[in-house]
Amino acid sequence: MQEWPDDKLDEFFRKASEELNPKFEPDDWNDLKKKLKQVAEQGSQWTRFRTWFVLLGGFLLMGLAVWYYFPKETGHEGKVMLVNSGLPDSASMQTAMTPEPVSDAGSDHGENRMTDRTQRILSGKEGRSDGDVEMRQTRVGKISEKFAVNEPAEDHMGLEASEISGEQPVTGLTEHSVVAEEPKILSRHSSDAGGVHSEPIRENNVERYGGTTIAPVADPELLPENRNPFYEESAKTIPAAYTDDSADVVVSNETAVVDSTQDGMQDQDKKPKPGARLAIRGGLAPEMNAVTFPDFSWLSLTGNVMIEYRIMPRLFIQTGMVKSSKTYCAFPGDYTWPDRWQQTVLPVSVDGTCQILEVPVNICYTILEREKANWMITAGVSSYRMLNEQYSYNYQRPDPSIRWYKWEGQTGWYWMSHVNVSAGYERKLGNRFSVVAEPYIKVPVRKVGFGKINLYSTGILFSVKYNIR
Amino acid sequence: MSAYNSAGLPELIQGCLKRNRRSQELLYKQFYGYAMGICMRYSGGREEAKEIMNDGFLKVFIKMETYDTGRPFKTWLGRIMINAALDHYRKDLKIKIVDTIGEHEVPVVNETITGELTCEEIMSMVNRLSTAYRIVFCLHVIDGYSHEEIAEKLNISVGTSKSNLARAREKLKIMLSKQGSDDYARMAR
Repeated sequence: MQEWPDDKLDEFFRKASEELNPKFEPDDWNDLKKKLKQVAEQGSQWTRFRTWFVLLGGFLLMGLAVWYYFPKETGHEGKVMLVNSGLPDSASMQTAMTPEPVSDAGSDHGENRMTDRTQRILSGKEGRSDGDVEMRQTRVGKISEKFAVNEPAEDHMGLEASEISGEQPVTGLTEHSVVAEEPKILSRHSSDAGGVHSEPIRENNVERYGGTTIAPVADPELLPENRNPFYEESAKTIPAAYTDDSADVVVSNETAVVDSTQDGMQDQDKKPKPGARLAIRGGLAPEMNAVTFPDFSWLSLTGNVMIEYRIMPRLFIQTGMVKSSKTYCAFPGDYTWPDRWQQTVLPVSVDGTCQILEVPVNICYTILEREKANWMITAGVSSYRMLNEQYSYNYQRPDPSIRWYKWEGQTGWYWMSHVNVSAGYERKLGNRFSVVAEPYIKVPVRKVGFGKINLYSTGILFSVKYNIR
Repeated sequence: MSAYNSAGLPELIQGCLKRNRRSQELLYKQFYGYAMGICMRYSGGREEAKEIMNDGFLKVFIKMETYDTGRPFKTWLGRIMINAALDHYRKDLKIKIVDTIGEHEVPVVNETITGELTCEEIMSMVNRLSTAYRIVFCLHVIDGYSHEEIAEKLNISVGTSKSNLARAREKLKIMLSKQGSDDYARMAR
């Protein structure tokens, strides 16, 4: 019996603690497993919420971008011309101002005639009689008929129009008379608010709209002191453009953009009518699958039949069936080993082949509509039904304790297990048929299959669409 | 199985990184004894030890990404278990201990009797210490922390750490002497 020094006591307890090795209690692991499941569920709920949030945000952003960008684009498309407008030198300006001698009435060119006539108007030598006005009104009727068949914009202006009418060529100035039937609607560029409204009747052009006598120097642009050299040069390139009030000209250092947008009424006439309300689609898609993004496997083929219904002019709801055979390779951690399979040696990889029936429900928005083509974006959710699952378990080396080398079966439905996002291009082949190419990606929001895997898919769907009504 | 497991520790860690439940289970089984041993010496009993250990393993599985594979896994795991125990008892560390040790008491230990004690019996003496004494004793004596480190970890002064250690030792000596005398009396009967 003796008093122990501190170091001896410490050594005594240190040795005891090192020797302490409690035996494994399965209940302890079961308790931890429950905690891990709770944590995983909380995590997956957050992941699901985040996925939806990102998708919704992306969809809204795309919608906003479309809303801001495309209306302006469609207003300009097909009507914007780029004209090389290196600033004219004084000689060319002089050419534009000087009347050319008319040698032969039969070979008379509009450009010369216009210049000649402009000069006469500017010098005040050309008077107008009531007869002139009547004759011009007759021409107006004929030209208006031509406009009514939606000819290209350049055909509406200047000489060609008058030549078709078979009468005296109508110069740029007479083009004013064409629109003098009613107050002209300004292009969008002329409106401060970006809308379309009528040009106010000014002192200078009051005669054009209502009077029987038309002042020859009606347009202040034609006055020598107000004449823009660029306008003069443009007049050489596009004979009637400078006299068309609806033509907006933007001058930059090297190029000028001539916007010959016609009035808003014509724009509305050219807009494609909304498509059919009900349509059916069938197609095939080469597809790649992965259990870890973005490690996609080789291509497999999917087939689909979809029906779509237009609920708004540009908005469709789609549903249908997609039959696919997905092949993938999963590594430890990608899949969940079944709890009831008590096996100490785990496979190094699992090869899976699954026959899947997918039921998507999508919303499709047409972001750009053209007469012959449409661009659209689609988002939605899919439910998977596992029709047949085949798994082959690969082990590093053979072991007598291995009991599971393969598994085959089906695990049924996985509701709303995936989110679909796609962008598509539709080419119309006629009134009823069109073809669609649509790259897509399917992102899992819950695990599917016997191995509880996250199954990503991506591919391009090529389909034929038939408009039923 | 043990051969497979020891050879497959990197694979198990990889599996745990991918949240593979089977890999987690195997890792848990492999280090259960070690982790439970740490938790039992810091806790007041087996149930508390299990709670601490499972909290520790939960941290291990969630924060596996932070593990530096260049360092021994066992050391990293031990550190997490100790921190889990400190987190568990942190609120108890501030409670002021009222000692019942008499200043005149000099404990005498019978070495013959102590040699016959099992490690569970010995460690149960540590478990009987108050939380503040037990934690400081385990940190300093068994896990090798300095008083400065203990003071920082427990947010106490170095003096308090030293004082708690001294009192823990005294208590353990008394327990050992009592254990010896009880056993001696039992043997004499």
